[in-house]
Amino acid sequence: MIEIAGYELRLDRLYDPATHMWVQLQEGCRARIGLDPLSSETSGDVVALSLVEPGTIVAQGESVGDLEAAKFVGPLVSPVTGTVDEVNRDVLLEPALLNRDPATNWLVTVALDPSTRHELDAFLSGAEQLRPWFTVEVDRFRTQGAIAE
Amino acid sequence: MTRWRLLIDDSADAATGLATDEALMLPYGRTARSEYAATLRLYSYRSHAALVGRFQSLDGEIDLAVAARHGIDVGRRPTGGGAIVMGEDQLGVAVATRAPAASTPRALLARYADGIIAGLATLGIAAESAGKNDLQVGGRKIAGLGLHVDERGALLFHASVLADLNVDLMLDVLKIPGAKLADKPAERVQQRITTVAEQLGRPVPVSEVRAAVAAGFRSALGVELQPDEPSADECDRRDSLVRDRYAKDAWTQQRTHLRDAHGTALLKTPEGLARIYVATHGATIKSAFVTGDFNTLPDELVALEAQLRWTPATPSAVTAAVHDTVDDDALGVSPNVLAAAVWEATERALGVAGGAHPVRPSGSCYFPDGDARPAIRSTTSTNEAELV
Repeated sequence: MIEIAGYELRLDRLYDPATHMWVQLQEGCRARIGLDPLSSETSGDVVALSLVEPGTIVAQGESVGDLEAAKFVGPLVSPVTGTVDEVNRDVLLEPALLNRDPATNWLVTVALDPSTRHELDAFLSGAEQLRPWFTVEVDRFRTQGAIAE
Repeated sequence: MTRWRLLIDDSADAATGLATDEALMLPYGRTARSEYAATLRLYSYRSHAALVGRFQSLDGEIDLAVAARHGIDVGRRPTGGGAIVMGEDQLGVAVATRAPAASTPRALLARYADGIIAGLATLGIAAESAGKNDLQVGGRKIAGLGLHVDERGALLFHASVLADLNVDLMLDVLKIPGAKLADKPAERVQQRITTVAEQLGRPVPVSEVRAAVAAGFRSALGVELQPDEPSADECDRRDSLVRDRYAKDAWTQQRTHLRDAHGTALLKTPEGLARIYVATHGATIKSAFVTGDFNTLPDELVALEAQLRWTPATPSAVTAAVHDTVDDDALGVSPNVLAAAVWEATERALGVAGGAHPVRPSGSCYFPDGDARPAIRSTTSTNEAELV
C-alpha cells in the first residue's frame, strides 16, 4: 500500500484513470471492481445505490449501477467488459461503506470477456505509475474541485 | 452569446413528463452533438403527479390509496431527494446538457440554481440556496433541486418551483412522519414552505413564474434562449422511455435494499413539550420534523429540519447540524440537549437500540453534557423494503 496526498492506494490491484475505479484480478479470469479513494471522496456521503443483477453483460463504460449522494444521482461506470457474476450485497445494505473503506468494499465481480483483455493495458499499477497520476488528480481536485469525468 | 434551446409545455402526465426530461439528454452524451449548448425545459404537470426520488420506496412515501382516490399520477424521478407533488401550480425546470469535466455536482447545482434565483428576483422575491439542495425565502423552501448524470456523460438538472401549493392535498398524499399528527398540520407545513403566490400576496399563474425563470436564466447564465420543440429523435426516445421505464411498475414500484424507518423523541423544554420525528432511509436521515406546544416553530428549528435532511444518521452529523443552525436559547435548552433528543429519535429509527426504551435520567455517551437531560420517550416504526 502507498499513501499519496493523504489517500491510501493498495498495490494489489489496477486503477482505471478514466473512471477512477479499481480493478482487482481474481482467479478464473474474473475482476472485482470498486471506487478508488478519490472517487469515493468526491461522491460525497453515499445515501443509496443500485447494482445490476448477476448475469448482466456490461461493456467498458457502461453502468453497473447508480449511486445517490445528497440529491446527485450518477452512474457507476464499469472499467471492464464482461458478465457481472457477483454483486456485493453489503454495500447495497450499507452504502456508507463506500465512503468509509472504498478499498475493501467492492461493488461487483465481472467475468472478463477474453476478447477485451486489452482493456486492462490502459490501467495503472505499482507505485511508479500510480504516484505521478494520483498526485496530479488530487491536485486537480483540490484546485478545481473536480476529477476526471 | 451561448445559445440554449427553450422548450415549454404543460399538463404532462407523470410518465411523459419524466420521460421527456430524460429524452432531452439524448443529444448531450459523449458521442452525440447538439447545435445548442443546453436545453431548458419549463413545464408543468397535469394536476396532480406525486413523484418519489430515485431510491425512495413508492408506498413508503406516498399514500397510494389516497392518490388513487384523488386520481393522482405517481412516478419515480431519475434524480434523488424526497417525494413531491407536482401540478398546474408548480413549475418544473429541467436543464439537459453535457456534464462538464471540470465541475462538481454541487457547483453545477449552484450554477443552474442561479437561474431560478435570478428569475424569482425579477418578481421581487429574494431566494437563496440553503439546506442540501433547496432554495429558500426567509428560511422557507420555495424550490427543490436535483441532478442526474448518465453513463454517457449527459446531465439533467431538475427543479420544482412552487408558484402555489395545495398543502392539504400534499399532506393527504405524502407520508410525512409526524406532520399529520401536529396541531394544525397545514399551518405547521406552511411555516416550512412558501410559494410565489404567498410572497407576492396574489394568485400567480405558473406561466408568470415560467417567464420570470426564463429571464433569470438569460441574465444569470448569459445565454440566449431559442424557443423550440423536441426533435423527432427526442420524441421517439420519450415514447420508448414511457413504454420501457417510466410507466412500468418495474421502475415505479422499484424497491431499494435500504430500510425506511422513523423514530420519535419527546423533549421537555421551558417553551413546552416538543416532539421530534426523524425518518431514515438506510443510514441517512431523509427528513426531520419538530412539533410542539409552542405557537410558532422557531426559525432555527425550521433551519435545523432542512439541515438534517440527507445527512448521515450518525451522532457526529446530528450534532454538527444542530450546532450549525441552533443558538443557545432555542426552546430554552442547550444545543447539546437538543442534539441528544434528535439523536434519540434517529437511533430509534435506525433500530440500534431496539423497541421500547426506559427513560434514562441523564447523560449520553454521544453528548456528554453537564445539562440535566430531558425526559425522553420514543416510538419506532419501520417500513421494511423488500430486496430487488
